[in-house]
Formats: sequence, structure tokens, C-alpha cells
Amino acid sequence: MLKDITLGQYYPSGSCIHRLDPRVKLMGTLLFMISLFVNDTYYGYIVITLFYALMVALSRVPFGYIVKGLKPILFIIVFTAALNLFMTDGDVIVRIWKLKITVQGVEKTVFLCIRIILLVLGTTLMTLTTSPNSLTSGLEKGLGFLKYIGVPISAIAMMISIALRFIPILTEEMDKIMKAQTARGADFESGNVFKRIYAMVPLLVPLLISAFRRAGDLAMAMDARCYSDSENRTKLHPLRYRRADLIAYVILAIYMAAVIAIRIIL
Amino acid sequence: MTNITLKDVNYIYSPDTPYSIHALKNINLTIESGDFIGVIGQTGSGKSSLMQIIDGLIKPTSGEVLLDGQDINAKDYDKKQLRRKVGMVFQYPEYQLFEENVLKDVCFGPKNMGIEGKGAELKAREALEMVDFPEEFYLQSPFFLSGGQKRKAAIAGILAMEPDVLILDEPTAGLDPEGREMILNLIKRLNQEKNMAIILVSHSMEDVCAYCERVLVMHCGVLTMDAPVRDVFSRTDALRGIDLDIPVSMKVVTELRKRGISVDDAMTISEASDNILREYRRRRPC
Amino acid sequence: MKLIKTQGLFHRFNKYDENGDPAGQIAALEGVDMEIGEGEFIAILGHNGCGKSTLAKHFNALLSPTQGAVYVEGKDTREEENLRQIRSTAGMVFQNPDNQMVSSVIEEDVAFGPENLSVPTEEIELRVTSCLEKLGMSAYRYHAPTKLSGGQKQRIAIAGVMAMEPKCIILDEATAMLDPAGRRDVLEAIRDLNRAGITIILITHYMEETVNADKIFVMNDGKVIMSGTPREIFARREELEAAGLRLPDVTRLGYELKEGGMDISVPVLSEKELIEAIVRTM
Repeated sequence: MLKDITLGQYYPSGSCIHRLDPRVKLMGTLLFMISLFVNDTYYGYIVITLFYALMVALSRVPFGYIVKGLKPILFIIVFTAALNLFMTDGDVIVRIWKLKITVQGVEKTVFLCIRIILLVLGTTLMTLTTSPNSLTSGLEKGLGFLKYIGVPISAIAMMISIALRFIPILTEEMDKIMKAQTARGADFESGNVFKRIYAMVPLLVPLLISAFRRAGDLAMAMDARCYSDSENRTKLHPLRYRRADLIAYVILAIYMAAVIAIRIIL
Repeated sequence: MTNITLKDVNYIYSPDTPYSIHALKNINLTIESGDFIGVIGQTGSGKSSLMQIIDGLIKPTSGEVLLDGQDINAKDYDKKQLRRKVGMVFQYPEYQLFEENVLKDVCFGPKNMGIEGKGAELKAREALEMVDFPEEFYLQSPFFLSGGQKRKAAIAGILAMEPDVLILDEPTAGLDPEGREMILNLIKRLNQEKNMAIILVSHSMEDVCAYCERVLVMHCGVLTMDAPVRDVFSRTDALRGIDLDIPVSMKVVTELRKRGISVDDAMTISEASDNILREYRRRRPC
Repeated sequence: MKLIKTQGLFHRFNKYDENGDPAGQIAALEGVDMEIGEGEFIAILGHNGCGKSTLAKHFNALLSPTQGAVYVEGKDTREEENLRQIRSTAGMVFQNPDNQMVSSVIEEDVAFGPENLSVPTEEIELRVTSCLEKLGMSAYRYHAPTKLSGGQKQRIAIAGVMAMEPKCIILDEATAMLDPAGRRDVLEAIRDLNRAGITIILITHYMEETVNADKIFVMNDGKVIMSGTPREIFARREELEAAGLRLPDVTRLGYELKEGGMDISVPVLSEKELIEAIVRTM
């Protein structure tokens, strides 16, 4: 189940994109998203798609791998597409029973689908090229200004990285408890929805208790190693901008300028 | 009489991926009522996979698992029959407790077998008695018990299903000496009084030697030995060769033989002491 | 000055019933007086629930005494401002290897302690390299902990503590969840560290792990009931059994042979010693 989600799975290929500072990639993803909403022409999409294709090529992540990230949101895409296709007023092309498809509807649907798909592909590329750890430290440093308005950003970053550390452990544990309860005759697969939800109790209660026990243990282990969320923590790998990062920022700026220019001119 | 037979069982983890592991290779095996089997092997040797195959929790990639002649992985096979006959106690079984009190938790198995209300409770009470679980804790939350008591409650949860074959994966892990002895003696009693077949997976060679009659040795997914306990542990060099410990009693005996003192094989400390003393007295005729 | 000293240490946990209301107290430690010198290899033995883990948590100031006091290098564990100093002097390795690793990358986990102590980046780098080296785990530097065996994970945990440059490492049942190979691994690693001058406090219920200790404290019902060298302790067979402990097999065999009439000096601590004794008397 969890294996299907490409979003959040690191694909190490050691490319130049991988080696960029995570802050650059976060900013890049943000700008890419903004560019999708700024743009309103087909020409713009050509520029955006070309830019995206270039990034994919540079990242050396197989495209098939990236596309897998679309699977979990396929339903959302189909649903919004259908909604727009049938609900937009305008010049009618086809009429099926009470539903009608309009020229404007088709146009809107195509636009929307491209937008959603590129949005997901863009963020997927970021998570595939950035390890969860460097993503966290990128967020921590990139959003560091938030601490001035009282947001405990370092603590949040620590929580995220701990969550990432424990996801595989708890997944494995869930598998084990599931097998143990199956051995006691539990049935997780048959019956109606309510029966199935009820059948999850013998699985979820032990899992929750285990998570709490682990959390308690971990808190104590962190205390023992002098953890505090103060500002004075140093880092093994502090983030420092290098030349490649600056070049990447310049490329991003040119890209944004191009997208905005297309919007204004066309 | 229950009989489990494995025929040419292979098991491959996540096949057709770069991570695939051939966890079990051509396993052939028969288990019968009353057997007391120890399973030894290093971590990752395939012991756990083998146990899960026997309990039908994972399907062999190829080969058959037969319970009383019926293939447990056949489409039309009623798995409930398997669950009733073969019980499995996982490592740290107390982590599967979930009900509000011990009695209810132990009822979970029988209820899943379709036994309702009083009948399930009766079975639960019997099982709790079998493991010597103190009656005053029956209605307590399992989460407030001591480690040893939790383990007993969890084992009772399996026994309440009255299995003919009981698989235990490291049932003494994390317990102190008293707790360990208690659990091992319980297992021995189940074997002798109820004629339950026991399959004990253990890292403790001493425990396997002292309790089991037959030993399976797993190494890299292959069942390398399947023989009476004495035959297995007399092959000390073969065991050392696959990085397995041998019990202290055998270590001492083999070392003494190397030093020219002929002492018979010994599975336990008291046997070793008897054998050494016999040789000592033989050399000293009065 | 002793490295660690406890004075009339009492610890009581509040007990709650199922509704969360207070229901009296459980006494975990009842008057422990103990002194541990620098460079020693100390073992604290006892069955589950005898109070040994509670005691260990006092050495690291994770608990504060209900009564009495604990001093680490003369610093009182009750004083908030001493915590950092105490915890970096006496580092702690816990039972469950998974529940004490913070990061998904080994090197970052080892760096966690020094990062918290605000050690400069270049210095952290050096410490991580040397600690992984010392524990023989350099090859796993960039790995994820999920792929490691239990024994390897515990060695990483020890490296993580070593990176804080402590004088003392407390192993709170750190071998209890490991297989025999993993246990051997960890015991070997801590003996090496002890030879290099680190004080070791090994908390366990396996007597065979304590054979090489300089001194053993045996606990029962929250009290220290015996202390001495392994040879002195292993000689008190009945008392140990009464405290819920079991002698190692070699030692038991030694006793049985002696009772059978062989002239073997007990207690026997190792296989080698036993073999030599038997060969001599034959």
C-alpha cells in the first residue's frame, strides 16, 4: 500500500539536480507552481513543459518512475476533469441525456488537467531528487525567518525527520501485528465496510500503543543526548550555497521572466 | 493425529525486483503430533519465513504445504481449520494484546473460530489456567501487567484456540532467568500432557539441547540438518562452520576429548557432570 | 573524587489506577549507596524489576532522586544547570536499538549528540569519523539504520554516545534484545572502550556478561544486596538464586563436579579455567 506512493521517495542518482542546495529546489518548486497559475496560454505550457523536461533530463531519474507519482491522485484528476467537462456553460458540442459538453468545457478541462499533472510531477521531481533529511534541513533553514514570529521551526523540522525515521519501523511493525492477529484467526479481508473497520481494532490498538512506547523511549534517548530545541545546535552538514546554486537561481529567474513575459505579451 | 508436510517449498521475497531474496530453498519436512522440534540458525537464515510458511501466513513461491494431506494454500481450503490446528506465538507476543482486559483478549482467538459467548470464555479460562496466570488479574488491563505476565497472557491467547501444533518464535526473548524457565517448563508440559507438537525457534542452544528432541538447522535458506538433538549437536564442527554456537556442555566435552580424556556427549550441564565424573571415577579404581 | 556516587538514594514512582487516579507509590530504589571510580568496568546485575534500570537513569540525571543524592564528577543531578555536563560525562545506551536512533542516516545519528552540545561543524566531522572507526562501523556511514542488524545498531548507538566524548558509558540492558552474535559484538566493543580508559557500567540480567567486570553490584528489591569481584560474587550461589539470577553454565558445571568429588576450586569463571581444572584433577 505504502509502496505505491512515489511522492516522498528518494531516487539517488547523484545528478547535478540532486546535489543542489535543498533551498534552491524548494524555491524552484514553489516558482514552478506559481508559473503554472500565472500562465494562461498554450504557448506558456510549451515553455513550462520544455523547462520541466530539461529538469527531468538533468536529474537522470527515469521518467516512468516519476509518472508513478500520479497514480494516487488519478482519481482526483478524473473527478475534476469530469466536473469541468460537464458543468461548464457555453457552445454545446455533444449532449448526452441531461449532460452537455461545451467547447469552453473541453478547453477548461484540458487546461486544468495539464495544470494538475504538471503540479504533481513538479513536486514529485523535487522529492525524488532530495533526500528527506536534506529536505527537512532545507525547510528548516529556508523557513528560518518564521522563528522570529514565534514558530518553533527547528522543533518542527526535528519532528519531520523523526517521523521519516519511524515510518519504515512502524510499517514493518504493522505487518508483524497483522500476521500475529491473522494467526489468531482475525480476518481483515472479508465483510462489509463496517465489519472491516471494526476488524482493524486488534491491529490499530497495538500499533498505537507501540508508537507511544517508542515515542517515550525516543524522548528519553534524546534527553540523554542533551537535545534541546534551542538556537545553539550546530550541524554536521550545515547548508551553504555554492556556485551551482547561484547559477540555478539565475536560471529560475530567467524561466519566471519568460513565463510572465508570455502572459503579458500574448 | 495431526501431520504437516512440506514438499519442495521455495520462498522468494519480492520476486522480479533487485531486492529479491531467496529466503527458503527446497524445504522438505514432516511434523507430527507429539514432536518437540527446535529450530536453530543465524538471524536471517530463513527460520521466521519457514515458520510463517507452516502457519500459512505467507505463500510459498513454489511447493506445497500439506496439513493432514490437504494443501493449505489451495483456493478452496478453509483457513479456519489451519488456524485452529496450528498456533503461532510471535516474538514479543505481548505486543499484540489489545483488549480492555486479559480474559477478553484471550477470547479473541476462540471467537474468531466462531465460538460464541460462554464457550469462548470457558476456553479462555482453561488456557489461562494452563499457563498459571493468576486469576485475580483476569479482568485487569493487559497493559498494566509485568513483562512475564503479559507474555503468559499472550501465549494463553494462542492456547485458547487449542492448537495441535504450537510454533513459538523466541518465546523467552527479553525475559529474566526465572521468566525463561517458567515459559520453557510450560512448553514442555504442553508437549507431554497435551501431546501438542512444539516447534521452538531459539537462539539459545542450551535451551534447545535441554528441551527439544529433534532439531532443524537453517542456513542461508537451506534446511541443512534435520535430526535428533544428539546427532545435531555431536557435529560440533559443522555447527561452528555455519557460525552457530554449541552449548557449553558440548564445548567442554569436546575440548576434554581433544586433551585425551574420553567423555561422552552431553546435552545438559548435569549430563556433562555425570559423564565427567564417571570418567573421573573410572580412572580412580578404589 | 569518584566518577559516580550515590548517597542514600531512594526512588518512588507514583502509581495510578485505571482511571488515572493516584493509587499509592511503588518503591523502585530503597537506599542505594554506591561509588564508581574512573576507568572501572562495573556490572549491575538483577532480575527484571529489581530497580537496576531506575538506578541507571539516575546516573544520567534522567530521573531525580525522591530522597538522597547522586553525584556525577561531584555534580549534583538534582541541579538543572548540571544536566548538560552530567549527560555528556555519563552517556547512555538503551535497550531497544530502534527507539534511540534519531536520524535515517547513520552519520547524522552519530552527530546528533555533538550537534546538541554546539560542537563546531569541523570538529563534529572528526568525531563522527573517529567514533565510527572505533566501533568498526565506518563502512555503514551513509547507510540507513533499517538495514543494520541489532548488534550493529547498538554499536551505532555507542558511537553516538562516544561522539559526546564521555568519561563513562552506561548500557541499560543494551544486550537484552540482541541475538548471541550481536551480544558478543557489543560486549567486545565495550571491552575495547574500557581498555581505552572509558568507564563502563553494564546493566544486565545475564551473569555470563559480567565475568570480565572489575566489580559487580547485585540488586534485588531496590537495594544493593551484594558487591564484589566476579569471583567473590559467583561464590555466593544460594543468594544469587534467591535473587532470581542463574549462574553461567560453566560455573554451575564447576560446582556440580566439585560436589561429585573432584578437586576443583570454585567458582569457575571461564571454560578455559574449567578445562584446565578438570585436566589437572583427572
